[in-house]
Amino acid sequence: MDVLRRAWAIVWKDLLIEARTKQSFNAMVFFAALVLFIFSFALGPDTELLRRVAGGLLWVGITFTGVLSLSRTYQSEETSGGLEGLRLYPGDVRSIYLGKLFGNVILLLLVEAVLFPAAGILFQLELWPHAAPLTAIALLGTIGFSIIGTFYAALTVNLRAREVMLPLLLFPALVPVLLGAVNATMLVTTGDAMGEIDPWIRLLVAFDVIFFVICTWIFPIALEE
Amino acid sequence: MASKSGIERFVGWTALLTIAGGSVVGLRVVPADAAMGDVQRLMYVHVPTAWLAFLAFLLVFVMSVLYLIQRDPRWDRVAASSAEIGVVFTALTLALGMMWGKPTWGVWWTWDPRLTTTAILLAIYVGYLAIRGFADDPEKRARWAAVVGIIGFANVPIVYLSVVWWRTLHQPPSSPRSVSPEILWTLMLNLAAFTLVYAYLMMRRTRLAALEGKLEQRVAYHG
Amino acid sequence: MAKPTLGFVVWALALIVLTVYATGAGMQNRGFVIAGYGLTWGTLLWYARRLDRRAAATKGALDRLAETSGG
Repeated sequence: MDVLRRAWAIVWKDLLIEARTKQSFNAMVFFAALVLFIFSFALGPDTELLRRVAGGLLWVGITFTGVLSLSRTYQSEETSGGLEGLRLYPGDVRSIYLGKLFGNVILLLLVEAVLFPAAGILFQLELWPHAAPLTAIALLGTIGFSIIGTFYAALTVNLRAREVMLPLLLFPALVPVLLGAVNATMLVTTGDAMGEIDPWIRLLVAFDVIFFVICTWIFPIALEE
Repeated sequence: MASKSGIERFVGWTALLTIAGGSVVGLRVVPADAAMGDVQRLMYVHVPTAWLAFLAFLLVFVMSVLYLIQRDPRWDRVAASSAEIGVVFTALTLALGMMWGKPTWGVWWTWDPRLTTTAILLAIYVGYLAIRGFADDPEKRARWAAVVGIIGFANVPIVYLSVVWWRTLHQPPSSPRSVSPEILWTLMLNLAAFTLVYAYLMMRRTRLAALEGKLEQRVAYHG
Repeated sequence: MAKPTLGFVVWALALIVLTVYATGAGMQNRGFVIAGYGLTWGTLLWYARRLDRRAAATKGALDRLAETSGG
């Protein structure tokens, strides 16, 4: 499909830029690790407590890191005025949304690939045996985060107080993703004795599907002149 | 358009009288709940404000969709008015919920699913009002607000479900209690009263919005 | 617009209701109930007054604009 082809072109372009400079990636990884560190200090040295809440801390770290990188989603197209560069792209504007969405997901997943093992070390968790379910949860959560994030980033790209508006809009909207990802991760890392993980996965999938449809559909309106 | 209409005045006075009546009944006439005691009387204001908050945001959603389809600034004005009134009702719901909670549970805040969802609802619509403040062009403002309103409202049932799961997996949900007919009737009365208040405030607020829109136009025109 | 009179009526009603209530026999947690109802009325009144003030300000601005630009 044409839209997908154009979207992929955007992903490829952004990833190439990122691969060359590694600017965002390095900063994001470092920042995320820092967040985990600070939480460990805030919660105290009780390793049993840390082990239990590690899932939650991980996702808070991912959220904060993600928000930082989201505001730069459209940076390469931004001119002093705004998204004129983007509007000049030929074809369906939705390809831009999809391209930026894929790009954000991939970048965040790469950061998580470093962050999860780091959390395993810091919080003394055996994560490797659970690699498959954790990857699935990471995928679902990151996609959900990026669907809403990429959309609101387009809305706030021009705003004078973008740094505040993006989190203000984003955090309430992300509650289901956070609850789903945090609980699923915590259940996996603590063994899930009672098989409670099912509703959380379903929640993540439902959220991702619903908002993928909605955001893709109304994205052109967000970009209108 | 600039002056109060007869309907508005009528709704206003009816609202006032029904609120007074509802409060008298709720506070004095109807007997206290056997189990919960007099604190239960707060339900006669808390439940209506919660219901109206939800109704207000439902209207924001409908108006947002209508605006995006028809691009009529009237729909945007109704949406903005409903969002503002909705925020007032939501904040009130939270405060009343806490005032009911403290004597009942001993704490000001619990992570009760409905209370938590209400708090998130407040955050969503504060965001809606905030983003309106950042757009100078009325058309862009209406568009952005509509988009935020749609996403925000679509999220409400999902948020509620997720919070309910979050809480019930850790503790069983409180079983529904049957209510006496007198309590039910008092509740209905107050619900009607608050709905009238909402209608009255909406009429006034949309009138104000039209006025402010006119000012905005004139200022833009005269530079 | 007869705002002060309306406000007076409302508050009078509110006080009457509260007095009737307060003299009711042995109400538990009276403080919370009074606070709750009072907050509700107060908030609604405050919001209505806020609408009044904003409407007056906007009308004033419109009138001034009409004067300076000759309508």
